[in-house]
Amino acid sequence: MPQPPSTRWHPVAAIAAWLAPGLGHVLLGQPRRGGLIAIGVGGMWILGLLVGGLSVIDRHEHWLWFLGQMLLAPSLIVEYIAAYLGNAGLLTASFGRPAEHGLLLTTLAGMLNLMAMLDALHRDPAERRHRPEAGAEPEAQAS
Amino acid sequence: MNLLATLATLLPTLASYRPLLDPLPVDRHWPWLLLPLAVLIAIAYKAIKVSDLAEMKRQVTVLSVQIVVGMVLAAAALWALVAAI
Repeated sequence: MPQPPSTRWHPVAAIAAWLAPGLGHVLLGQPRRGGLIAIGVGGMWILGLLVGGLSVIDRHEHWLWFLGQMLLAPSLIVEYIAAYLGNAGLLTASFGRPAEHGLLLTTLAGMLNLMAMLDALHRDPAERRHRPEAGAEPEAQAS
Repeated sequence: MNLLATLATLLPTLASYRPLLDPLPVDRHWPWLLLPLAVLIAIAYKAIKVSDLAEMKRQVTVLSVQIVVGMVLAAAALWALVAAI
């Protein structure tokens, strides 16, 4: 008799996914999926910072983009660091194509991380197993 | 090779680049950034959507190509529209 899909929600995993991309799925026992999410979302976020510089995360200058960027918690830390470095005169302001791409990449990373957070919130941890062959005994469900 | 020519013009300006503090000097070469963008979107999206991760490579490759082709077609359509007006 096939088991019905789990309807449990995992708010801790969703919060973990916000703190670090992929961490929510690692907590759900899916480290490979979590690693791939970390590569995709984290790689996009880091690439955005490398292209546009830390100044692309600025809640005052780019407040609309910041709504997407803050869907990844490290953006909040980077915004604080960027403000400090900007006041110290160590940060070069970003304009033109680098700024556009930096904003696009970091905001897209945040929006994709929202997908990962929602997925971690209601994902069935047992889904990582392959479906059993017809007639075979189903594997024990993870708690 | 267009990519090699791009790298040849980009490398001297990279010498003064301070990662994270300065923006990357890619004003003239920005279309190349669409390739890693497409691949990373495909990895993140398929990592969430694919039920069997053994299919990841094929699915990511297909989606990456679809995104790049879609962007090229959209650019061509917009260029044609602007040229026609």
